[in-house]
Amino acid sequence: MISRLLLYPFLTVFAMLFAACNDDLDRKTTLTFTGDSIIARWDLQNYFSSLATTNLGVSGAGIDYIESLSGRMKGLNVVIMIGTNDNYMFHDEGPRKEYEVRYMAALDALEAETIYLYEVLPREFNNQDAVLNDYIRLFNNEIAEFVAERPSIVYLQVFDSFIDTGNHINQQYYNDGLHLSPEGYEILADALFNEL
Amino acid sequence: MNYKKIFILIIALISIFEASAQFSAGITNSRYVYGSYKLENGIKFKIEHSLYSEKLGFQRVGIGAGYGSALRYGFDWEVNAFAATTWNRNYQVVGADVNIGYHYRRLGLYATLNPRYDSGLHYMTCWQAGASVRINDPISVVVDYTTIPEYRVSERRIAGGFEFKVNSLSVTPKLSFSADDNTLLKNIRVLISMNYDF
Repeated sequence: MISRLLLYPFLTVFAMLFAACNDDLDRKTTLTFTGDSIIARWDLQNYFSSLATTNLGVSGAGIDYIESLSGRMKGLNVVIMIGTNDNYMFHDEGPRKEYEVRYMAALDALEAETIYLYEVLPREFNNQDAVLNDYIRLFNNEIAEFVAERPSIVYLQVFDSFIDTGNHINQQYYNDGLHLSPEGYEILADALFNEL
Repeated sequence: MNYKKIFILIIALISIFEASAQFSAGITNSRYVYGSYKLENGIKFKIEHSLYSEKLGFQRVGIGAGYGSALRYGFDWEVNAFAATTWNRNYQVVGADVNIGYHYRRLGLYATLNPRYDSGLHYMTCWQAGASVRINDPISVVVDYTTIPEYRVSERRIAGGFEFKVNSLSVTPKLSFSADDNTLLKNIRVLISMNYDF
């Protein structure tokens, strides 16, 4: 009796597979992740188990790494988090504006079909300047204006999820004030899934 | 396609299957729950569903069928065919597992060849090789090297742990490590498999 009852779901799945073979699929099945150590340390398959993922993250990477990928992401769906290692550029308006232009030019040069761009995350690492997170927030807001002009870029605005009302990071989402805990990666994964 | 005829065929097939069979249920690598039943003639059927930390549409459901038997001199073999799809039909995967094992006293060796076709990633041939050493009746140490995907993408991984087997219940907790050069000792995963024969 049990064995016969099991056949019903078994054969239902078989029918689903048969139906799927006749579908015109138009879904994003492959994501290429690139950026700094936050990407490099991400166990992508653990969080995106049903997607095909490639991790091109490099610890310590800055915008020059994205520039080195120019033209190599043609037609791909790319997920990017970059900028935290260039944070020294955020303090003064002039260098920050120049960096933002360079930042967007690097993203454009990838020629990706779609870019899912994470905001630079807040941090409290290595006795950094206490107001750095204010500059990061300012940088993210200014980048948002550039992104609004580019329909192929989806901006994942996750900064506020990682910072509390006292302008300190939510420690539960970090291992060391810079790199993320599993709970922190859950936030990034949820933000991306909401856009897929 | 006449779906009415297919439905009638399904009902007819169900009625001819033997009532006596061994039913098993379990979890594979913390990520898949399954139910299977094995007929007296050794043919086995299996249905499996993923436990990903994703929405239902991205969960994967699969079916499989197989057959195996024991050979002489401590060898045994099994072949399984499988097919799976996500609920949102994002991708499908079909393939086979060709397993061969050898047991001598406390030592066990096993290898699996896993040709598979993923509708998004296309064809790949994966494999796994492992060994087990029985410490005492219920406990064995297990270790394996695999390129068979734990999720969807093929990764080179090394896993080691224990198998606890008592009567109809077996539990295998393992730690899985990436064997890729640039991620060595990173991406450590805890994998727990369990099987119970009813």
